[in-house]
Parts: sequence; structure tokens; C-alpha cells
Amino acid sequence: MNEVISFQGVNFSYGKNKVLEDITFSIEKGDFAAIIGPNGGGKTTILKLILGLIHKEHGTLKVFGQDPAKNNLKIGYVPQFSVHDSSFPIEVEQVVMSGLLNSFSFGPFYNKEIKEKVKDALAKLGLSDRAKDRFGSLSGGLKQRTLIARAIVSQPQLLLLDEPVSSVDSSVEKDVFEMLNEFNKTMTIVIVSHDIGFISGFVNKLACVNRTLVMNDAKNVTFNDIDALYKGNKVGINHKCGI
Amino acid sequence: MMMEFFNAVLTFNFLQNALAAAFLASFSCGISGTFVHINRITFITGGIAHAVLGGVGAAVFFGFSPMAGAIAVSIVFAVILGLIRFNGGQHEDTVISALWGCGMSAGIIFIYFSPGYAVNLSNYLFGNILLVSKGDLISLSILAAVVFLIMAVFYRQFAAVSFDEEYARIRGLKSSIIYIVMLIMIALTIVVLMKVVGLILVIAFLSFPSATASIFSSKIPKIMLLSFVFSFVFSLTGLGVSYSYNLPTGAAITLVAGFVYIISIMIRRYYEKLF
Ligand SMILES: Nc1ncnc2c1ncn2[C@@H]1O[C@H](COP(=O)(O)OP(=O)(O)OP(=O)(O)O)[C@@H](O)[C@H]1O
Ligand SMILES: [Mg+2]
Repeated sequence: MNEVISFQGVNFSYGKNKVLEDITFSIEKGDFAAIIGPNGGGKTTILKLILGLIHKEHGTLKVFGQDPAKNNLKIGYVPQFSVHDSSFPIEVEQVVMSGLLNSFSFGPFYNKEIKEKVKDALAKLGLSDRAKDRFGSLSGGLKQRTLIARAIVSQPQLLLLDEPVSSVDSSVEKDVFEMLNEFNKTMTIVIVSHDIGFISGFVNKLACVNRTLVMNDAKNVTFNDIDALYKGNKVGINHKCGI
Repeated sequence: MMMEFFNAVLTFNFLQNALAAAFLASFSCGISGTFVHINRITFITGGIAHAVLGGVGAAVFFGFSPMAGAIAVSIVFAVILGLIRFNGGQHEDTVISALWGCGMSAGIIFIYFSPGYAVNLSNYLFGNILLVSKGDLISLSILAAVVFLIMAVFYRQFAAVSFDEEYARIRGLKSSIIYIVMLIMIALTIVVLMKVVGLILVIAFLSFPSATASIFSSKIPKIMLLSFVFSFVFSLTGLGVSYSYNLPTGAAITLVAGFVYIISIMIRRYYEKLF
């Protein structure tokens, strides 16, 4: 069973707004896949479908061979926006701990094993000395790193990241990608990104989504192709996103 | 002045009961108020508090125990409002207002047709901590214990759902059920507070201590502990003031709480400018 995610002819709309049409692709174990595309193209929607937060209309969608949401504890997720109330009384450490929560987490305390894992995850993201900071007081980039730590603390088999580096500076961005490359040894990764420059060096699959989707083997795509494609999309004339 | 009050406490049974009730109310309020504050659900809380009068009124009218009526109705409303939160879409506000108004009006009408209309109504609306009996104290203790137990069991899940509902759902937590359990905990606290400050002042009493506490701390357990301490101090002061000057107790307690909250905000503003 090497197929981690498989979409076959999946459609989705928000009300009358057809967001995704006839999406077909598959992600195999060990892949490092990137999803790119213009704003509103449906990238976040694809991740939400995988997590079972919203439901497909037609087609088949399997995650770890089962319906979405069945295996969410095997998935780490970094959302695109931090929608959290900035005055919320929670420390960085606690945010990361919540990545290990499940429906059997009763009682007020976290055990030692959990605390060790959290320490590791914080260290990996260079947040060790921020552990006791209030989450809401962090800068955007540090918030994103905290949310990455929350996603990887459970050592998931599949890691979904929705523009995780949109507000970290470019040196950190490179570090984050190198770290993801390291994680890729044990995790399948799907990343939504705008920064094709960095991505192209790391990923082995590239999907471009703009209502419909085109999947490519990253090796066959040169940097120039991607650059051209992306610029084309930014102008936003063409509704098809073909390579 | 306060000395006089403390002497009176040592002498009079009813004041001892009042202190015990204030302690139990502050304890529950420290726990539930904190979750009301971090979830910013004062409006929902107000809705439950006012609608509870419907249950109390029905109980008075049909001759049941008013506290049993209050408990039953507050739990029912907690469940309804929880369901609305997750399925009601944009009309949440309107529905809460409707329940708020209808529940309260039904209560007033029920009580209107019962003997002792005016006294009864004002006791429930404004509380009468000086009338708390030994029997009441037992029920209040049980309620406070249940509130504590719910919090202790669900603490991490409550915190997770409050902070990031979507992520909690991804981790397999049943957000809507957890949210409803949290509202039930708050509803039981409302019943305790009804005795002390009355239904109308419940929202104020639930929000001032935790709002004040969160000025001084940014950890949920600390905020709970601090708001417990604050509410107890506020209640004692309010009780003392009302005893000395013969003022309505619930209103005196609430005014003390509101006054301290405003002072705390000003002090914090001042220090923020200083550093
Ligand atoms: N909750 C929602 N309700 C209604 N429509 C929505 C909702 N979320 C997204 N949409 C619509 O779905 C379409 C796809 O949105 P999506 O968030 O998937 O785009 P995206 O590719 O992630 O864009 P971006 O690059 O801006 O993040 C957009 O047209 C958007 O308006
Ligand atoms: Mg998006």
C-alpha cells in the first residue's frame, strides 16, 4: 500500500461557486509534493478535503486507503492563516502540545513522554527559548514555526503544509525547506507554496491547481517552465493552468 | 466598619452561610468565568442566565424546587445554544436573543401567578445571599464539585477547542460535544451564582474577575486560580459594604468587582506607558 492520497475525478463547490473540478492525482509514500496555483485556485480546499474538514461532491477520494478524516492522527497540518485570538492565554509550548491531543486526552495534565516530544519539536524549530512565551505575542514568522512544530510533534506519516513560510525571512525559509527535506525521510509531504524558487530544488512532484489540476513529475519541469507558468497565472487571464 | 462586619459574621449564622455561599460561587466562577472569558461567550452566557428564570418560574408555579428547575432549564439551554453554535450559521445572535427574552418573560409570567410575586422575582433576579440556608449550601457544594470535576476531566479538550476549534477537530476531538459540555459547566455555575448575585448580574460576576485575572497572567490555570481569589475578595467586600450600609448585596458585590476591574485596567495602562 504505497498510495497515501488518491483523488479520482473529485469535484467540490462552495454553494454555486465551483471550486474544484475533476481533480485526479495521487501521492505516494515518500513523495515531497508541491501544490502551486493562483490565489483562489483551490489549493487550501484540496488540503481541507484531505483532512475531511469539507466533503467532496463527486469522485473518489482516499487517504491511507480510507475515507478522509479516518486517519487524521497520522497527519500533521500547518494551516495557512493563524486565525487565533492574539490575547488568548496560551504558551508556545502548550500550542505544540495540542498537536499530541486526541479524543482520549482526559485529565488536566500532560505526561512526561509528551513533554519530551514537545521539547524535541521545539528544539528542531529553534523555539526552545520561546517555549514559555505567549503565542499571541510572537511575530508572524515565529507563529508559523510554532504551528510547524505542532504539526510534526506527533511524528506524522503525512505532513500537509499550507504556505508555511509566507512570513518567515528568506534565510529561515531555506532552513525550513532543508528541515522538511530531512523530515521527508520519514514523512510524505504535501506543501502549498508560492515560492517556486525554493520548492523546485526539493520536490519530486508538482501540481498546479486552478479549479482543475495538472500534476507533473518535478524532474521534467525546468525552472523556466514554472516561472513562466506562475507569471501567466498571476496575470490571471487564463483559467486553465496547463504546463 | 469592616471590623463590625467580621464581628457580625462570628455571631450570625446567616452571615456564615452567606460567606460559605460566596466561597462556593467564587470557586465555580473562577473555573467557568475563565472559559467564558477566553471564548468570548458572554452573550451566550447571558442568554442562559436570563432564560433560567423560565425554569425557576415554572418550578415556583408548579411547586417544584426552584433550584431543580434552574438546573434543568440551564442544561437544556446549554445544549440548545451549543447546537445553534455549530449549526445555526449567521443567525446565532438572533436565536440567542429570542431564547433570552422568551425564557425570561415566561419566568416572569409564571412567578406573577404564584403567591409572593414581588419578593420571589427580586430574589431570583438580584439574588439574596443573606437567605441562603444549610440545605442550599449542600446543593451549592454539589454543584461546585460537579463544575470542578467537569473542568478537571475535560481541561485539555476545553482549552484546545477554545484555542483552535478546527485543529481540535482534526485531532479527532468532537468539538461540538466538548463545547456543549463546557456550556453545561457554565450553566451549572450560573445556578450557583443565581443565589449569590442573582440572574441579572451573573454575566458581570462571571466576566469581571476573570477579565481582571487575565490582566495579570497569561496561563489558563493561573487565571482560574486568580479569578477565584478575586471573586471571593469581591464578594466579601461587597457583602461587608452591603451589610454596613444596608445595600442590596448582589449589586454591591458586582459594583466592587467592576470597580476593581476598571482600576486594574488603568494601572496596567499606566505601567505599559512606564516601561
Ligand atoms: N469558507 C468558504 N466559503 C465560501 N467560499 C470559499 C470558502 N473558502 C474558500 N472559498 C472559495 O473557494 C475558492 C478556492 O479557495 P482556496 O482557499 O482553496 O484558494 P487557494 O488556492 O488556497 O488561494 P490562496 O492562494 O489565496 O490561499 C475561492 O474562490 C474562495 O473564494
Ligand atoms: Mg489558500
